[in-house]
Amino acid sequence: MPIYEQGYQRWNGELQERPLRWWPIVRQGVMQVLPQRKYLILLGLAWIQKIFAGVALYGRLKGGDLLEGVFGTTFDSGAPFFWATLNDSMIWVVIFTIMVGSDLVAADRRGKALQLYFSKPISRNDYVFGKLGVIATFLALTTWLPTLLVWLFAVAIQPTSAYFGEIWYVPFVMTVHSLLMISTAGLFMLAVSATAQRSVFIAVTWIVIFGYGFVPVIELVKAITNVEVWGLLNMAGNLEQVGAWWFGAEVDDGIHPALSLIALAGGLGGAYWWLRRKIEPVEVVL
Amino acid sequence: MNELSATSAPTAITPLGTESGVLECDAVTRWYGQVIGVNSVTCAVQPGVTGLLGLNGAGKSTLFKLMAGQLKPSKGRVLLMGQDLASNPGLYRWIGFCPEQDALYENMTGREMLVYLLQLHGFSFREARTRAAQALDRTHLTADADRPVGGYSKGMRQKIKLAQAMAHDPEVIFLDEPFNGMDPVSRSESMALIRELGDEGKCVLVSSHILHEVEQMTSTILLINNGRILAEGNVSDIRDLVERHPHRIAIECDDARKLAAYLIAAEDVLGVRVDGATRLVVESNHPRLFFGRLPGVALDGGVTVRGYTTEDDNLKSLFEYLVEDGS
Repeated sequence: MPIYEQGYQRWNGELQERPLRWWPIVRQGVMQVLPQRKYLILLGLAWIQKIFAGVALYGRLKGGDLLEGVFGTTFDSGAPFFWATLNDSMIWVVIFTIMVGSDLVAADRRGKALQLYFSKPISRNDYVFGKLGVIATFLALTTWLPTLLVWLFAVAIQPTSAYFGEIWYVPFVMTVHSLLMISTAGLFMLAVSATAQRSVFIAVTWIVIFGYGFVPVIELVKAITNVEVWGLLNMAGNLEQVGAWWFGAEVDDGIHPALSLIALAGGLGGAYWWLRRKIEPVEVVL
Repeated sequence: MNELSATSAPTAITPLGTESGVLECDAVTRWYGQVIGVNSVTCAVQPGVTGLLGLNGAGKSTLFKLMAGQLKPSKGRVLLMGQDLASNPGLYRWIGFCPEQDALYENMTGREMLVYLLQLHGFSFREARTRAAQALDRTHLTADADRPVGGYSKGMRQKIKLAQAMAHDPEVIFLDEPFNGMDPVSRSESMALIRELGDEGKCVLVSSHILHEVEQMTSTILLINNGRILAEGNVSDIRDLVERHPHRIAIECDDARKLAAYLIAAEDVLGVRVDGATRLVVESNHPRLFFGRLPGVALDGGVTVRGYTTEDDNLKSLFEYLVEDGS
């Protein structure tokens, strides 16, 4: 019979460095989704939209007068054009957030996989960042990356200092706005996914909470009370307001974009707080 | 730990302050609203296999989850290698947890699932593949490693959970009812593996509500009842205690009255109740002696014994005895 030293012995082995503990969760989540044909088709469609934007910009930069002569109008090829291009991607934000995100936490809760996750050396933050990273990957692939490529294309076909001086800051604001958009859409989705279990219910709830479902109600309340601040409840509307502000495009006069930014920060904080509350290795039902 | 202690007050495997263990519970308490799940448990667990025994609802799983850091104690603390487990996920590097319920990725293969979970521990893909292969081999799952987990039998699911609990070479392994649904061969293989892990110096805690199952892996047991540690000690001490209490044995035979007449004369028989023409219930304070004598008595009396069942050689009666002794 083996006889062991009974006193406390500190473990002296080497531990592997863990700088990116959430990374395997991102990779696993992306690799589960990406090979599916429907996602590849949708990604292709999102990129076709940006190719059209690139073609339009080429026409504007290389034959602006001609376009104006033919169509009787033209568009601004400066920062507001890139804002419009980025903002047009909201449809893909909605589609990919719902398709990729609605089951991300719900499936783990249904399968009781949270017990396994949290018996590993990962924190709840790692788990949240990992799951958010899955959504972020798809949203970045359909919004930020193609719009950035359109910007590079614009710089390549119009290499003048005047034009570059007009649009040089676009990649920075685009990146910051994309981060805000991805965090808001993703965290709200994860919070709903951690609360409900059925995908359809999660999708509908997210649409309502994210803002699109609120729009008619908000407009009605605004009309009745004549108070614009109700519009701050619309997170998608806040994102649009802040984006337009940062890109120097036209903003809605009703609410200052700084207030929209505060509302988004509050929404993000609330979603994260709720998500942290709901992610438990063992669900205790009292 | 040679002396069996049985008391309604919390006791310990090793009392804190006298000798520290790899894993220590310091007055750990957990409430679920108004209900108390685990009540002021203080213990220190040493290397080797320890069986945590209790009836369903006794608090085994809650204590396991508290010890494994899956639940936070309402009061008290759990120390792993001297460090507080609460809000310290880095310590999970040394813990392997096999939950009672299925917690699996149905679409992944067994190998993929193990590799993924090992990567969460921080192993590189290559290292995770190697360790997953070793764990699959030790749990006899190599042949089915590349099949989706969704198609696994109950026993195979238990094995893959066991594999993920040990693949990263943890110091403490929690196995919550690991044999549920396993066939006898798988059960025997898994028991051998658990004994091996204990012999390697791992601290293995196995929860079960079946005494003989735990007996086959370890002689060190911890009994939990109503959220409190009821007794701890060696299985043989527990067995002796069981044998000090009269056992009820129901016998099916062709002539109950005739057999009763023969049995009542023996010293180890405390009482006999005839329960119909072909059934009698015997109370014996030496069941092993009784079972040894029974065939001879039946032969002498010309009575055919069709079968017998021990009515209270189970965990429930054991707990009843211990509660009686402690009060």
